[in-house]
Amino acid sequence: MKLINVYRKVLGAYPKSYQKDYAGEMVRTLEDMLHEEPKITKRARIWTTAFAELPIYVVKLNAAVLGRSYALDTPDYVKRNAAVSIACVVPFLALLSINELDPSVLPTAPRWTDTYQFLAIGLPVLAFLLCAATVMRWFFVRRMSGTRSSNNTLVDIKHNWPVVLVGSFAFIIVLFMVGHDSVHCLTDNPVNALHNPRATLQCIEKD
Amino acid sequence: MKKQYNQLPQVAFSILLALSLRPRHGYEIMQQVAEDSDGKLTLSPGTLYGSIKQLRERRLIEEQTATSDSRRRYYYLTDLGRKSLESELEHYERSLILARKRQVLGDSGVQV
Repeated sequence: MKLINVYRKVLGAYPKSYQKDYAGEMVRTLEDMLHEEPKITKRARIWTTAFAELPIYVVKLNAAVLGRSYALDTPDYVKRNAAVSIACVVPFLALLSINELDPSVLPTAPRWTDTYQFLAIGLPVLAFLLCAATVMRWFFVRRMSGTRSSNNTLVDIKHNWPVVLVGSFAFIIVLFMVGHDSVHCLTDNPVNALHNPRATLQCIEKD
Repeated sequence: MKKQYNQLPQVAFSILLALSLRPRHGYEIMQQVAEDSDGKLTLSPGTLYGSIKQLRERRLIEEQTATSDSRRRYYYLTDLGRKSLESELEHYERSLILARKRQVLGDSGVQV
């Protein structure tokens, strides 16, 4: 595949509106630059610059689109629920940052166990459920209004991206915690006990 | 509120200056900007069209399709764009006069 075709493909990562207005012009201008430059070293530099700047502008322009969409189009309940969900995952991050999720330093007293369980697993689960419920609400509200097809609405993250982002992060936290050694001691989950005998033995030894 | 100067980023200012004589398409703007800056400022497609987008949003430039080639777009200064460019140039001129008075430029300074 020619490099210009690769460049054209990569431009597909730009926001749709930008692509519509400028992608063709960008390709055309790049072709002009290459056409006018006979030296291979300078042509290589043009290609390098053109490809190197792409990720920067892709992130920058998409962030601008999402930011504008958040300010103008995102419903208040999506913003509110995203904020609540962020608050729910903050304790987990705080515990992680001070290494309090290390099973060797995890307190074994029942009061602490319950608290840790709530902060490290309960709240992220809550955040995930809240985000999932918000996405479903968004889906049904849009479906009822009939502005777009239901299939498009569910994957349309342009307007509900804050909850999709935080919800995905909360889901990753839950997955991480399910596999974390400390959880075996906290939850006494029999499935985890089978999957991770080393951690289970550690818990038994502690008891 | 006092009028503010130097509100344009360097690339945006250079593009407006390149369009001050006549409408140009993207590659012509690049060439003119490079020529105006003695090759010190070379634009890449991403930088150029990122700035063009911002300038269009601020209504400082507009686009028109070439009659000879419908795929080619030309950009030209709007009245607002020309005023903005003049305002920037006045600011630079005042700064230059001040710099000369204070002998900031020295022997290697710009001579007009």
